[in-house]
Amino acid sequence: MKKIYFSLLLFAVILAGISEGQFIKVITISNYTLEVDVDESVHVKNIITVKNLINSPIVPGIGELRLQKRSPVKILFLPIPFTEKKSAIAVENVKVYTKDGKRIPVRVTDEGDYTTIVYEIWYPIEPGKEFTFVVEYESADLAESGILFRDVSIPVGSDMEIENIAARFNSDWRTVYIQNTLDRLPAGGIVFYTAEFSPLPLPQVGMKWSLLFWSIIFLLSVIIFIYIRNRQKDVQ
Amino acid sequence: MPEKFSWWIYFLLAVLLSIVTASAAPLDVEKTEVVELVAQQQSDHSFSYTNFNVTGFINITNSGSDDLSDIWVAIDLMNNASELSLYYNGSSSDVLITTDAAAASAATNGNINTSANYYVHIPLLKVGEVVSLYYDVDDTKVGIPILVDESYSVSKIPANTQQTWKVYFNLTLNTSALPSGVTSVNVNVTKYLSNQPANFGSNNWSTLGPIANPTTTEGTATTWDGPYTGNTQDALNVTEIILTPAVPQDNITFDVTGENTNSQRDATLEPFGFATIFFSFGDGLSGTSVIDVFAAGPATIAATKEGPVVNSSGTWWNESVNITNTAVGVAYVVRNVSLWAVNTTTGFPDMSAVIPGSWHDFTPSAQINPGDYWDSGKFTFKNDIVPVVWANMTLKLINDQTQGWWVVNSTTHEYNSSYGSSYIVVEKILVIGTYLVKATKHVIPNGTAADYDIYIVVENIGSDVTPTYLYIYDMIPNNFSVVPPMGVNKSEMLAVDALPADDNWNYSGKNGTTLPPAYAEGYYWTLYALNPGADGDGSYTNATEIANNQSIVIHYLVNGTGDFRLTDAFIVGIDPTFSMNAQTSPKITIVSGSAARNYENLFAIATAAVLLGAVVQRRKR
Repeated sequence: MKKIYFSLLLFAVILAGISEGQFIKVITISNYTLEVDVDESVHVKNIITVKNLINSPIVPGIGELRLQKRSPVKILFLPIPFTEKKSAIAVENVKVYTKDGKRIPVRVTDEGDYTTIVYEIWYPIEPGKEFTFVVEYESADLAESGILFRDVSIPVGSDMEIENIAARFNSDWRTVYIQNTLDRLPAGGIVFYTAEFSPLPLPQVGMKWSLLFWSIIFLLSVIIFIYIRNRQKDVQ
Repeated sequence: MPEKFSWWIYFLLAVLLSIVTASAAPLDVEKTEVVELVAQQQSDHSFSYTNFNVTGFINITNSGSDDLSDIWVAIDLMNNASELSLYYNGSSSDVLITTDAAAASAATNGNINTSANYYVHIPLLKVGEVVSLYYDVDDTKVGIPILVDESYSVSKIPANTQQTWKVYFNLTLNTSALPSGVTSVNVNVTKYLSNQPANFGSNNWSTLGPIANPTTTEGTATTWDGPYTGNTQDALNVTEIILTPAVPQDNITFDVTGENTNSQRDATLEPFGFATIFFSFGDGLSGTSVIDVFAAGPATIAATKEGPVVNSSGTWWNESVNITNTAVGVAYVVRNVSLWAVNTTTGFPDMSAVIPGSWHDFTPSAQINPGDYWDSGKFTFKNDIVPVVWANMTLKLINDQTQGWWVVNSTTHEYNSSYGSSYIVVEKILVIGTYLVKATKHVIPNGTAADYDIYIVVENIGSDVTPTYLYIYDMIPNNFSVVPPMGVNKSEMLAVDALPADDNWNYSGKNGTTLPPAYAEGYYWTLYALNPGADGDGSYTNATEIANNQSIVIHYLVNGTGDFRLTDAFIVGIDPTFSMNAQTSPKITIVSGSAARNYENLFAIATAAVLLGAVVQRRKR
């Protein structure tokens, strides 16, 4: 299922304001690949290629990757439906480097309810040329684990157009659900890449198994309850 | 024998420390490996590690209240580049160092571990005396314990203008180099700005400092007035950093302001200060260990003879041995005791004439604390004449922190009398004197009447690449006309070609309406950036500089007709876009994160509640 919110309903706060002031399009993201390895912790590799659209060289300079977690409010370990809280994401092993391995200066700042990875690219991009760099980090905050299933839903949005975008998930567990993805994202848009993993040998059925599986179990328990209550009435 | 003064300082400090440390064992064996390192920053921000040197010291100190004697220390030297040698002898006797394990075993009656490769014998070590040993570690076989990484918010700064840059300084525990038992390393860092060449600075800094906005992810960062610039708040202390395998890195940031007067054409890596790193952890890098110590102290041995008792079976004697610990503060283990009797003869007794039934060996392994004793009990033997009873013993100081010998292992920075630590990081930043473009115009008669070859040689003789684009202007005087071809060598450097389909005309634009009266046409060429390093000789035949994009040659032919003035041809213009950096793009901002939800726990609780209700219903039946 494709989800895209041009109105920036979700993640509006951290994306707000960054698309202002661009009167001419001078640079674009020509390729964006998200590689996600899901385990107890989630390892994310953003492979980003930017392209110079004007006939002067451009130095990308400072760029930001802002990370925010949206999750339901929990009472002890129980998530409460229809609630939401925003929080920063604790990241570690943050690295930014060019495609040929040169390290790019990077720092991480905590902005209260979101985290910012700030990198600095001081390599000039000649007119019409491209430059590829990788932003890599790990976080235990990105996966939501239950009893039998582990869910990941990673949004990607930018203040400039992403001409080609793709995501790849890897896990030791079986992928029991994966969302279809866009291959192009307009400036200001957001796409969500969602996947669910389980040790159970379940086929992909087009919806999240954590909902389907537990709905069936819950329904069966209700049927058992009604059956027993009706039998008790018959006896009386 | 090492000759460095700083080692003497270290040694004296170690001796002082061993004396004043109240918790030291009576026989205190401290093995300390000290690390010296200088990390020099390179132009690509990587570090070149030089002067990496690890040295080991073993101080054997009598810190107790009893004189100790016959001390043997078994040391297993590993990854060493030198033999174990005597560094200082403050004992009341000579000191012997041997590799002969059999000799050490024999001398201690088999009471020392023989798997070591060096044995040190100190016959007498009185209270307060110290013996120091030294060994050099093979630095190629051990790793640097703490790695440094430093980068700046800018890759270079221009000369002759005040600049502020942010320093990102990271310390990383090199866990692969640490002994496996090390769980934490205590680190302090002191950073100094310096404009003194004798103290890792450069006197090209007309201003340097202050340090501002310091942050650290571990410990506490505070600025203070350092000694190497004369300015205030030009030094930074980061203290109480604790690095562990779980938290192996500390990230320190701070801002530095300075202005450099580098007048060199070439870019210069200018040092602007240094950092000293103080660290310690409780084990050695080389794997060297003190595996056993044998020593004895004050004690008495008493051989007792009683008798005779004469009865019908003969004349009988009783013998016994008693060993008493007369020390004040050390305890022993009684290892080997022998008791025997020989017959008296004229003069000294014949020691080989052992009376049958009188010889007894004991290996009690009993500990006797100060004032305690061990007694063998009485043994009876038969002898017709008065015997002489003999006894001997072997006592070994116990391995105990309060009443015996104890080994303390550590690794630390090497002491430096100037800076406190010889673990030094030198910081440098690239200062550029910027680019310098030179254009030379040659007007050469080509042998044909009124025809002249024009060569415009554009060279970058500066220290940095020119901005893109570089504009060259030329004007054609009145009564001259350009005869094609007009070429650029090399043609790939022409960024804009006004007539791309016509190879005979290579220029970017022309203007014929706003020229001075003496000129008929104006041409300009938009060129790509020139690399630095041209020699500035104006030669239009330097193929190497042309190939390296250090110089470009524009060539065309002019033909004069009528009343032309050749001197008007000697004009050329340069208009590089003066800018330190290329144009920057809008900031690229990407948002990401997590929006995952999982309600399994809620479902499970609800299901359990319903099933519990079903069970209750059934029980009501």
